[in-house]
Amino acid sequence: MRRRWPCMSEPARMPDGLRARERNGPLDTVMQNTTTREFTCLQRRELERFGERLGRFGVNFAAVDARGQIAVLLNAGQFESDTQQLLEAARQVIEAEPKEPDCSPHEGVWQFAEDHLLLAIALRLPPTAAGWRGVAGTVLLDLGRVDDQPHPREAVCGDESSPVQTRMAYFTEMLQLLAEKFQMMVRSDEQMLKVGTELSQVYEELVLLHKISMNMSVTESDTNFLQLACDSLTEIVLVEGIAVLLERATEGGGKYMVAAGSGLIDLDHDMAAMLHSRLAEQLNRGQEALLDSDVGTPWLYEWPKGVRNIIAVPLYAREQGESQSGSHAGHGASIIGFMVAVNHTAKSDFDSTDIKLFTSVASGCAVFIENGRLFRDLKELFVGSLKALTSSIDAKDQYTRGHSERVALISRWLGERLAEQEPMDEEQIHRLYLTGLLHDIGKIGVEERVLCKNGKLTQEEWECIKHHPTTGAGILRDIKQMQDIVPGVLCHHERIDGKGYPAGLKGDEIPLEGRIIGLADSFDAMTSKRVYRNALTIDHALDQIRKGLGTQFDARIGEVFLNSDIDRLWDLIQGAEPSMYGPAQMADYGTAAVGTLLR
Amino acid sequence: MTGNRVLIADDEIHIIHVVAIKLRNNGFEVIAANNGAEAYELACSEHPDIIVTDYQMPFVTGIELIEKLRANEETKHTPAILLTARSFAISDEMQETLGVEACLSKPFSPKELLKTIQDILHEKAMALHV
Repeated sequence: MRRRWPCMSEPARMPDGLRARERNGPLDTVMQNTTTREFTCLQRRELERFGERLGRFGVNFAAVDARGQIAVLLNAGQFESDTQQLLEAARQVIEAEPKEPDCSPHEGVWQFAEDHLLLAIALRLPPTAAGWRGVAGTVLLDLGRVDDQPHPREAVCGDESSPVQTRMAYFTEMLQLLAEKFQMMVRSDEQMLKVGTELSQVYEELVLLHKISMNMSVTESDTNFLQLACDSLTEIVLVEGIAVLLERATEGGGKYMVAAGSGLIDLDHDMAAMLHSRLAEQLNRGQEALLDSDVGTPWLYEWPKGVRNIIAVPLYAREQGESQSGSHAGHGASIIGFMVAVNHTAKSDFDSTDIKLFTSVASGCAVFIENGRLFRDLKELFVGSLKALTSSIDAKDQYTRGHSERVALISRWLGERLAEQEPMDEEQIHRLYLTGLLHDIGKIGVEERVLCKNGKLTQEEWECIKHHPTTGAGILRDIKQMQDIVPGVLCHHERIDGKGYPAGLKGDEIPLEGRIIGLADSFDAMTSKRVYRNALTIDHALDQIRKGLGTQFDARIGEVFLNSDIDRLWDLIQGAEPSMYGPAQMADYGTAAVGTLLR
Repeated sequence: MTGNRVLIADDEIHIIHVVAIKLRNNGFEVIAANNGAEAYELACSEHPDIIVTDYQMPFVTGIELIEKLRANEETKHTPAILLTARSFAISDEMQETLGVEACLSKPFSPKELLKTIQDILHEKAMALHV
């Protein structure tokens, strides 16, 4: 089936006889254009259809729009209509229509009998509550030349039972029906348009909520997300200003701070506190939102100058252990913030649809914030558990206490420095931290006797130690979330010159993480005490690294490390385990060969 | 504005409803098709100024429709907008190869579609002017 809805912007030309048109379009909802005052496509199509049916009785049909132009002219084929006479008749009909809303219009069908015998009726727009709305145009029937009519004069004022009179009565009735039908059509068109506009608005809202929920899955910052919500909302609800305020724990109780917003909205601390207390009051009264204006009812509250209407909706989060203020009874939830908008510019007041929309968006925001918090908690728990695990391994040997965490910090430091020169995202840097933390996890399989041995290791013991990267990788490989850190753990004892272990990889064969962790591990090992030697000074350790560039260490990564602010790094790792580096303990142990550094 | 005839092809009737209302209210003439084959026929007979087509349609998909349009001398240069499902990401190169002016993922905002159409037609009018 074919569908089309053509719209002619130029006045219709005179058609050659009747035309059958096969247009059908249920979707044509455009209203009469009040500025150009033309018929809409649908209206014209209906008029044409009507005219075609009347044409079977040998009369010509014309429709003149409110501008006074012929929109439809259907020639039944028996005679030609005089367009001048049609236009003049239409002008007279329209002129007789009232111009003021409260006048009653001329009723009924007009007759003209100048040259042709014409019947005409005004097509009125359906009246609204405000009253009379004027006309959309005129419909005319041309019955032919007056002289050709069987008994024209009698027909106008004579015997009602004559065939001519019956014919006239029939056409008159038809025109009245058409005028009624036209009004009904316009009314349903208007309703259709209203429904259509609402549908379109609902669609925009749907898109907005969809956009918000899609963005929720992205690890976006709270501020960015809230800003997106505000911006998207103002695209479909025309307001002067909108903002999201969140509770920030400050001294002396909670305070609401603007987290995101757009437009003109003046929110100082007093206004924020006032909004919060008024919103809480409304919620306690069982309202969903705070809605205030002087439209219909007087103001509920007094607002600063310039506020014409206002809406505020709460952001709820599940009740926490350390309960915040603003607890909302019955919800098991507390208010963590609210969304406020002022001065709807398209309407005089916010209404229930706005409450619905704002509430949906606000609950999206609340869920996002809540998820972010849970995500951070989870991450903290995860890293915390890893730290507990690795420090228990480090603790097998008193000299390696805190080692894993320091290597993690140094690796992250190196990652951050590298990121200044080449693309490396936050995810990768965090991965370096985790890899550093877990790099020695394989030592769980090495006996304490071997790890803590003070003296030369036997070949067998040395093999056992050398196995720890493989053991570590083996442990982690089975954990889905740890896949990404396996290469770094496996290769942190490889050397650029291929003399490392376990695989003896060379140069770029060693994954980047392996090269970074290797360097970080060595630096921390050198600057820490060992059972077999004292800690090296920082400068000494840096010298050793410099000497090892291109053989033990990756030259590029090494350079980046050597050029970085080592003092700051030192403070950083000192902070992690300050008690380990007391100068008093430095002298207790004899120096040891650097060659056994990588034990 | 000259050049305001839009052909929309989508098998989901509600999409046509929403788009038609939005566009008509903004002075466009809208022709609609329920599937790709019908859309192609209308594109050839009605000479729309711009075509908006869904990606997933029965019989002839949006992509096939655009390929057919591009192969036809008459409809070769008619700008086209592709509506896609969120899960179906179309690359810039693919957009280029196909000759698609813009790509909107569903659910799209009718407002955004209107703006995209206006921008494309405006650009086209400017190009013709120069």
